[in-house]
Amino acid sequence: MIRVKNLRISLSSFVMRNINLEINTGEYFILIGPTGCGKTVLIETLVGIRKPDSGEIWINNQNVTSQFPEERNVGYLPQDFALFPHMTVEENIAFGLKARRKEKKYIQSVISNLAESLGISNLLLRYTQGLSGGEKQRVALAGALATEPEVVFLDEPLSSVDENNREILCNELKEIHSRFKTTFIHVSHSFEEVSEMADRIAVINNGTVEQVDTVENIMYHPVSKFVAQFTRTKNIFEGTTNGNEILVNENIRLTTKYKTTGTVLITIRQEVIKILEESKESKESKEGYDNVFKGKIIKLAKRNNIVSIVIDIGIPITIYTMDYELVERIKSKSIVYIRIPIESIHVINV
Amino acid sequence: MIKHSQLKQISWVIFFSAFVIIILAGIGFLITTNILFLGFSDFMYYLQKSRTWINIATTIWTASIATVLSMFVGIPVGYMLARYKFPCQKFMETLIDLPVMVPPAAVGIFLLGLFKTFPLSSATSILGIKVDHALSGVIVAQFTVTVSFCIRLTMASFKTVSPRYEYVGRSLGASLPYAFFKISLPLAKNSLLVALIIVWARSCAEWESLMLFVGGIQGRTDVMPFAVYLDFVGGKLGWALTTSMFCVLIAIVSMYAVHRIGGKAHVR
Amino acid sequence: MSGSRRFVYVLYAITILFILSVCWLFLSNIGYTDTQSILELFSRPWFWKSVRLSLLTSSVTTIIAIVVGIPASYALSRFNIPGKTIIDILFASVIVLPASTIGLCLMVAFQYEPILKIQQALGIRIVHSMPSIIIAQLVLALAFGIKAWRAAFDDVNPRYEHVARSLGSSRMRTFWKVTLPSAKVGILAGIVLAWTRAMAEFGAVLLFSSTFRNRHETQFSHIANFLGIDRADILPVGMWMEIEGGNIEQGIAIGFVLVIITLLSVYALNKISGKGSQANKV
Repeated sequence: MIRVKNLRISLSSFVMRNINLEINTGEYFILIGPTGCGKTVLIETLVGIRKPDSGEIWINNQNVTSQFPEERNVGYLPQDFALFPHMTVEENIAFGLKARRKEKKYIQSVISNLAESLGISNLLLRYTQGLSGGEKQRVALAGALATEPEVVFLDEPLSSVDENNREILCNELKEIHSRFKTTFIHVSHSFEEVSEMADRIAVINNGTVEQVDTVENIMYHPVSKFVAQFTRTKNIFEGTTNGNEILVNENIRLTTKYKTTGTVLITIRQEVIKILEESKESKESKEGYDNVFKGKIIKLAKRNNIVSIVIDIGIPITIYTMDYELVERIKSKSIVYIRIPIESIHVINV
Repeated sequence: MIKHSQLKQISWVIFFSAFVIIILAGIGFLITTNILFLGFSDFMYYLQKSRTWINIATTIWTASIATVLSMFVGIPVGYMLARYKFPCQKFMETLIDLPVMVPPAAVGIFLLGLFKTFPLSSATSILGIKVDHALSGVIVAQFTVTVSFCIRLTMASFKTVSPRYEYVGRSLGASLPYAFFKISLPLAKNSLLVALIIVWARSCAEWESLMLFVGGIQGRTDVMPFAVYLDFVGGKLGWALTTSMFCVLIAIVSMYAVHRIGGKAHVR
Repeated sequence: MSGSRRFVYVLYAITILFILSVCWLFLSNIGYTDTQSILELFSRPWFWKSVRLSLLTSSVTTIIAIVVGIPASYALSRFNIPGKTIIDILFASVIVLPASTIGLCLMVAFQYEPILKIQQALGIRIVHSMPSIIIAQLVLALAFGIKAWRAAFDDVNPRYEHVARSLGSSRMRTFWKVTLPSAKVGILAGIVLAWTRAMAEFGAVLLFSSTFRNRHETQFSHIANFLGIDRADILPVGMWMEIEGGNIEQGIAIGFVLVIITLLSVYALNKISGKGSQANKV
């Protein structure tokens, strides 16, 4: 268990404040945010490279705030892994154990076990320069895992890997994590890259933690406009409410489960909006079909097997679908009907 | 037929390269006139003199000791400056640079004063070390002038090694000294070797500070650059030139070695 | 106490001890001069002539170094000049050459029979003349300047130049408007460095130009008289002459003047190059 309490870190130009996190043992936890939001600074503080101004860091019921990195029992994989270029793969993996003055026999057995389990036995005698991105990742993980750390920190390990291999490496990371059951804390700037791996995500923006939650909740129940945009929610509108009706503009009224008043922000995930076909459930408000609107298709594009359709119902609404037959059928129509499920409308009080 | 644009390109290259050629011509002028003046037979004559070889040997071993001493100070201080911040950093760095930037003749006179003032005056007399008119003084002067040089170079060497390697090493459980000796030092090895060679060559070339601090006695404190001056003043021009050729040789060989090793650290 | 902490303390201790030693090297000499000698020194016209001469020669040297050195550095940085390796090694060697060797080389070169005849025909004599100070200073100033300027040009990505050229800018315009401004910090640092080195030159000047204080008035040109630099020596040579002449107090006082000048220019140098490294980070 890792606890971060009221952490404050200041750099020359920028301050991180009120950082509070609780990360469970064995969790795959992801810190995410745009470039320059302070996530690398935060992870460097957790590793012990930087000193915080105030606040506490606890690893396994031990206050490590003032400890050196070597006393914290953590693993750290920075960008490009920083494998030692003057050592062989074997020496790289053995480094942490040698630094701890473990017995030679023990070191040997740990290396051979890890190397076999990670499939790098054939690389042990090589130097690290010529290794592929995937091999580097495995060697770096082997080095970190050899010391049986409480937690492994990964700082954008995939940033220099090309796009085709990135997905493979992501899956590999997840697989290794589930096999070794060590806590992983992974920093990334791309939501798409890591959303499938995470148990929980912390979204960081401008030096503060905006939201800590499961992937599901971050996508469907963002706490702020920033989080909604960062998770690529396409439909974000402002509106005024009174009770459980929201007025987006004069013609568009949305019914929600929430009861609020005043100005609010509405987010609707693009993949949950339904396109209705005239023949079946047509026309206006049947029972339970409150949010049905009529509109025109203004844009239709296919990318990565997903069809993105923009429909103008007075405001532009983006819909993602993989139902190609449906797309074929409605493509030529001038008017289509859509239904926004009542439970998919998320309201953020401004 | 050369096109107009090609002509422009060529004249552009020639214009800038001309300045390189001017400098090369200057250097060539110095070298050829000196070689012609000295003549081969004189050169061979002075080569047979044992004092020429004794001077070379003295220069090499005093410079080597001074270099080792410089590196012992230069590596920790250079590492410190490369990795850590401290108050008034720029001013501190300026102070560190001073001994090599102040005219060496001034460093010589200040060294003289330093060794006549408490506590060093008492320390040297108790330990029975004599610095004036002695080779120990030569080493002290070489060390003083080159140590600042050395710190600059080692600092640049350690800056070529990303601190991330140390961070990873330390997260794996290595203490700072362990990470320093197992990671930073081996990774900076080449640049440090380059630093060592440059510092050594610079030590071999030190003379101005010796003039006032040690004083020249033929056959005792005359390292090569000093012998050049003493022979020149004493009217033995041929001998001065022969020794001076060896100084040039040492400089060129050292710089060739630096080029071959190719560390990234550079002199200032 | 953990190993890391002890190591950091040892590093700090060595660094601080070293800085204190440097300070002590200079400060321990304060006792060898006094206010009266300093005031006496300041009241001597010879001293002020020497200051003028030092500033004048090192500034002229720096200007010549700039005019020749900056284009040469650009050529070395950008073009594939044949024999570049040899040129690099040659230029770097000058930096680690003894001042006595440089002085002697210059002396011999300009005293060499055919060269001497040319000088006689032109009615000039370079050795032991005032302009010879500039030649002696130029060697090291140029070597250090080229080193710095070349590094400055190497740091400017040629892609900027390509972009500017593609936008229709001529080579000359690109050089003035893109290359030079981008390398500004390094070039400025190189200029200060060259000036500091020229100011500090002693050995080569002593051999090549000798001293002027004891010469007769008539031996100086009208220009020297007009500038008020007749019978003066550059400061390092002046310091040496004072001490050789037994006037230790004033010699040390000149030494302190030199230390202060160096301190200021090196501080400026560190400030300038510090800015450069920050710009590189962003």
